Amino acid sequence: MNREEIIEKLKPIVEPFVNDEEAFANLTDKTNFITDLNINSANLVDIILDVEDAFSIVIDNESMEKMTDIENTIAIIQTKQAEK
Amino acid sequence: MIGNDVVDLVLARKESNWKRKGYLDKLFTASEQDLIQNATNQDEVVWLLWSIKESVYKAYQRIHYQQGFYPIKIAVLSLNLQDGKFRSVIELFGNIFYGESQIVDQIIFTIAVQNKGDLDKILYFDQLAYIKNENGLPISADYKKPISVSHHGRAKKIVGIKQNHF
Repeated sequence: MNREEIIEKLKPIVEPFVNDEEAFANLTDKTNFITDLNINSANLVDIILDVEDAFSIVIDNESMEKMTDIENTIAIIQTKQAEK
Repeated sequence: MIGNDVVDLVLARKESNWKRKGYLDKLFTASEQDLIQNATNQDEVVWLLWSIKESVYKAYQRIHYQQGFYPIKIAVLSLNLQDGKFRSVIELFGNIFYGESQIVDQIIFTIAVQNKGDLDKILYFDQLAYIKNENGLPISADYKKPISVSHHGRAKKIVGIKQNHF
């Protein structure tokens, strides 16, 4: 999947946990889940589990460590999909 | 070095469903999951462990700034209830931390420090002017001392360690 396809699928996964709507409306590759979207870190796990389900991938702990912004999340999804 | 975290259990129950499949495996080590499984109040232990991890994460950022999401690497080695306080020992990247938590009115308050003696020197602030250092971490505006700020639901806590001039 390319970047745009991933973002389109990612947005509805992230949206329910967003606490800064303006930052979400102006989403960029550099947008950080915690510091920009103000997502509760306990909900980052929900996003990771939802991403696993939606993209049919398994995110190991090492990858999870980097899943704090949009850019890294896209890269991890692409890497995991390529490994399948 | 200090880190703190508060969890409003009332809000946590609304925001998160830790019983969902795979959730605990992403956050907690095998021995931490044993603590949860054997607890009479599992909900409380889940968020107690979580607040300990969050506190240690914040304290660790002062030693070595390393942003990321690695809760499973923050290992709670022991957790004991003594005199109404939960005392914990935690390990992260070879560093040992000491935690102290209390649960009051369905709110969990945790503080984690690297030097155990600092637990006796905690300063609590209702209000404090603070700014952010070069890594975006809070320091007091007046003496530029590290502080830790946590806010969740009904609770907000600002803490520091008592030192000279602070």
